[in-house]
Amino acid sequence: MISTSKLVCTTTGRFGSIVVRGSATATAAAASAPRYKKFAIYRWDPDKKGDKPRLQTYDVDLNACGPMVLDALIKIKNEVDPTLTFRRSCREGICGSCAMNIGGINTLACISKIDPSPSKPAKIYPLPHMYVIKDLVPDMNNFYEQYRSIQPYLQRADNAKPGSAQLLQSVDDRKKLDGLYECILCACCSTSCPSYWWNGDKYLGPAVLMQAYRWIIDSRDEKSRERLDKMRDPFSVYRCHTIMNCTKTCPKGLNPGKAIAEIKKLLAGIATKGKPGLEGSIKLAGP
Amino acid sequence: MSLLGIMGSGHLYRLGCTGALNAAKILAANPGQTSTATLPSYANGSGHVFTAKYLHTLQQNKKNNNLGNITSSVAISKSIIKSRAMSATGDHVKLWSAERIVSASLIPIIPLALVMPCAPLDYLLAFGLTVHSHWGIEAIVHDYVRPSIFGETIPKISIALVYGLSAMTLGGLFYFIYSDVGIGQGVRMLWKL
Repeated sequence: MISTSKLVCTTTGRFGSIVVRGSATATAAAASAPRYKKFAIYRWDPDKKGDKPRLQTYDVDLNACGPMVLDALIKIKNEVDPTLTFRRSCREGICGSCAMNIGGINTLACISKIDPSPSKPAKIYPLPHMYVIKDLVPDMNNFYEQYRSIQPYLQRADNAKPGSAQLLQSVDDRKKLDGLYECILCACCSTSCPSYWWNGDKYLGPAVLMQAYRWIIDSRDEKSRERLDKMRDPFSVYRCHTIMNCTKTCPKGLNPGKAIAEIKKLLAGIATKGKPGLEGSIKLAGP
Repeated sequence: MSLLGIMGSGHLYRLGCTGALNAAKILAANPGQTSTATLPSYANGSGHVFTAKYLHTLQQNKKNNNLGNITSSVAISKSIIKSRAMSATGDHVKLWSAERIVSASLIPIIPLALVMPCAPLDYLLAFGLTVHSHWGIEAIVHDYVRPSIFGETIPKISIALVYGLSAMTLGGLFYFIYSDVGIGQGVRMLWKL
């Protein structure tokens, strides 16, 4: 159960051939009998002609494996089947790479504990309703393109050169960003949203909308009106029907559903952004 | 050129692939432009975004040169912008506000119409309920009967059907209020049975 060994990971440029060097075997030798757990994993290989998606089952001894689902996946890739393909990087829930559907719930494999019950196999699928590139790797291009479309960076009315001055922000204004800036863009919420499944081409989805709100209410951003005006159409925001799957599934415990409601309130004029608590900037001394 | 390669990549996707088809259409529309287009900044970073590149390397490595990767990723981003622009018609803000107002006003109207049945309240209730359910069903039709699956005509017919159904409901309710006991009294009589 206890795995104290450190993983030394290197990746090559192409994700198709993620290489994991080092050993994932637990140093603590299993004193008791092996506890086998079945992992049923979605497999699909684009290189094999006519390959149909299928579930492949692997047996993993939980006594010789780390506690998280990602540990099991890495163990399978290292010791059983090197063709198993998935994304992972930080293994501590901060990068969002290993987002997948585990036991019917979109979450991060690295912070999701393995259910030790030997009777039920752990079912692992890629994020739902995404185009699959291989095995557990979905195509994230549309998602990133939508994120790009909301212009996720600070915009000032004077178009001053970024980095030339320190913009002031009051403590209260900074507090408004809590619960928003922590998003790691793993896409668990967006891919759990039925509206995003059906209209993902035109509806921005909870993750991107929460980031849109994060920039709209930033007291230092002076283009909130323009940002909001881009979202008045029936699809960008208003495909949200407050289903709240997003908030339920978020592995970081954030609330995208509430952020979308705040955007709707701002659009309808029920709420307003309000004046910044602190204005002005401090010029930085040039190098 | 790489047109066939992109069309062929449709089998990569689990569901229908409008993105790739759109991309192919755009490529077909202006091949000169796409071949000179520059790589968008997000696509040449070292972050997550090498998926399209990988996808098309798979498909086109044997066929073509490296240019295919660049053109296809540009084409995909263009198709997204295009579909966003198509949805950008119309202002949905007023409709959303109206929906909230109708929903909120139904909260007092429903019990009031039952407690003291009278024609004005009945007409208000009939109108409020019909509009409320109409917007609800219209949203469902917009979500599920969408052009990307059913083509251009069926969604329009469906929306027309929703309007027809709502008009008939409203007419029927008004007729019932005008020529019979009315909704409030009708519900009370049903309750007594």
